Amino acid sequence: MTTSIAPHEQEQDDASPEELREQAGAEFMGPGFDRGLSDAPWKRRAYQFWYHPFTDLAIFALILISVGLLLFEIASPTERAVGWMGGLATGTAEGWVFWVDGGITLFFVIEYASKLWIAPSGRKLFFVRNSWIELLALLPVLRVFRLFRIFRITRIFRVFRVFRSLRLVRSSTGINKIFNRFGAEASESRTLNIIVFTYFVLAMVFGTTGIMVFERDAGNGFDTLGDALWWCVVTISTVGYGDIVPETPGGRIVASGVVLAGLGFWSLVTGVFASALIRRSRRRKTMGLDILGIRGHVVIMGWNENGRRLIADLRPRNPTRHLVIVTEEEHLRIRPDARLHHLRGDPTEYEVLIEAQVDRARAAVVLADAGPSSVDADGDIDADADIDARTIMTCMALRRSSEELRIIAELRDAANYDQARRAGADETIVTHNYTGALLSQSVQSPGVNRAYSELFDIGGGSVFAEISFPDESIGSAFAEAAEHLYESRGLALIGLRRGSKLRVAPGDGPSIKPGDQAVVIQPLDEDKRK
Amino acid sequence: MNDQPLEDHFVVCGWNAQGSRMIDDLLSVRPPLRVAIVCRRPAEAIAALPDHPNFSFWRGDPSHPATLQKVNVASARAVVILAERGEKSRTQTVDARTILTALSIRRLSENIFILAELRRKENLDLVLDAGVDEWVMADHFSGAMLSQSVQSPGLSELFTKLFETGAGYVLSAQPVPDRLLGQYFSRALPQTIEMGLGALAGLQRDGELFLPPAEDLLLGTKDQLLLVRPISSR
Repeated sequence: MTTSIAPHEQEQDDASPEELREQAGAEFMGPGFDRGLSDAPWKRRAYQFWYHPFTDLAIFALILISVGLLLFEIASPTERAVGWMGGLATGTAEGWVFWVDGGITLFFVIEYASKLWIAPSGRKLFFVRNSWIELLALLPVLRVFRLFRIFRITRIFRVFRVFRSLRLVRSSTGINKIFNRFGAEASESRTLNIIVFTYFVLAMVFGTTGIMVFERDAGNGFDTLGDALWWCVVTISTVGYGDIVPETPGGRIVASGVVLAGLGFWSLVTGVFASALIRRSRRRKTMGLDILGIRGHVVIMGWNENGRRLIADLRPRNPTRHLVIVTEEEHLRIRPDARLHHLRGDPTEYEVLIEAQVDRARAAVVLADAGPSSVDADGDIDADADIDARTIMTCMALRRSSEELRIIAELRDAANYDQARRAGADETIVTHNYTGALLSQSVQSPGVNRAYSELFDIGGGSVFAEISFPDESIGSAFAEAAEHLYESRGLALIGLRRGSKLRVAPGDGPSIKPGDQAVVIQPLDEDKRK
Repeated sequence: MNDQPLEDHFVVCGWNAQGSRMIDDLLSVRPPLRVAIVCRRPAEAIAALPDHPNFSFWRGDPSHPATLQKVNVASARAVVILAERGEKSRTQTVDARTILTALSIRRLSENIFILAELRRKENLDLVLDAGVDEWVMADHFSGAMLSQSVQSPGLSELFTKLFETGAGYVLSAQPVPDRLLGQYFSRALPQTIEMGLGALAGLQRDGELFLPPAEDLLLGTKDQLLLVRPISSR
């Protein structure tokens, strides 16, 4: 679909595995990354393997296992160092954990190295910068030094496995995409997810270690790291069983910090969810999912300052009618609602028109849209010609989509009148040029301008309208019909349309025939005023 | 060029494409009206300057009272201040110029009718405070015209003819002819058509506008009739 141009919306639902792979590749290596791949079959094959959505799924599972192992290790009561062969040889749980984790880490090293190899030569740094989370998650590989017991300090590298949980966040957004759910939203709020997750991890680390420092030897039940972890989870979750309670002043300070951190954590989580939901519903609107099935609506193609007045004028008189605005413009300074829809897309494109259901619309108004990068183009002949060209092109697209649709086009230059008619516009209004006539009429008879305001301004009390003559007027002269229409319906009769011919105030005019239309000025009811 | 001293004339301050259409319009009216334009730019810089005995061009800054005195603003029938866009002037500057010009005109004459072209609706109050009687804004009515065309097919032609210069129709305000004084509005409706004055759209009384009046009113000497008529009839 071509309805949206914002980059995040390209990561849309229903993306194929191939598209997901392309997205992931572009994310890490930048656009155009695949140019160097075509003449390097091995790289291409590696790329296809590592960036396949199912590989992503497997990596996600491995990270989950690895994080689970980390938690197990923290929670396990033993502080005993595991010999590098000893653990495996004796078949203890710690030994298995060590080897499985080592295997996973090795797998990640291979993954990172091949991805770095795939990245085009000029983009290696770019790749490293974009994959910093993956790089951090590799730090536990430094544990390998422990095998040789060279430096006892290497135990600290265990901590780096925490970074793998960051990778979990990145990976999970990819998984979401595979399952076509909150994909776009999740990737939009990726930064937020990372913040929330980091916040949680830091709070847990702070709480668990802090409480151990102060309470371990106080005999209050904080005997193992597992106890501290348990207490921390219970406290952050704001459940607070109270089975173990810190008693030392230091412990209580840490506990206060954890309680506050817990409150903050839940507000963060709620905020992230709420914003994802809001974004989702907003996109449903922009994607036009809520206009399926409407009919008899008015489509407004393109956008300019007059659009707001058009809507302000149209809506009060027919509040139940749906209005669909089709434009590439993102910010219209109007609030869409149940009957006012904003469909983002190029109004000259056929697919966009189909989506706007123009074939079932009552009328289409094509506004003189200067385009997204418009400047104050007033009086610029070329700019006016560009705008009219777009308008006329939109008219053609509309006519192609529906034979019956009534099309009203706003033109900037009266010289394009014939072309617009040829392109399928039923009516045209050259709005830009009426100021001269308005000025001249106003300066000649003061008061006329107020009358026009009454007829055309927001909040005005009267409108022009075209109606059928009442039966009683058929056969009478125009002048008599004027008196009759005023007395019976309060309308001021201005002119008469017979076929396509309009006559204003025909004094010598023939009598009214069936089928003639009356052009009148009609006062609006109070409640229908704009 | 007409050598008579400028009196009961129209003064146009500034220049733009809309102004050119307006002047064509004013010069085509019978009996002919005299139009003087005051503009900062030289005459050569303006395309399609009309060549007409009743038209005169004065170079100078219209916001300077001295320039305005040269065209005898105090005796003019009305002044139109156009929103003149300089090469790079911002819309806010354009309205600021208009305000300055209006204040200068008011210094010379308290009663003259001033019509100004506004660029930003937000500046309306300031422009009115500066002494402008009426204002016009490009594109301001377009939304409503489009909307009324959506409601009633065929109206676009009326709008085009109302606002196209040189041909079509105008809306005009004029005093009640003697023949219609003391008559009801409803009775005046057919008579204005028969007299060739145009179609009676409404009336203006004591600053209030009735388009058309909800109750049948008796026409008095102070009332102004609002008529839509073909341009040729007058």
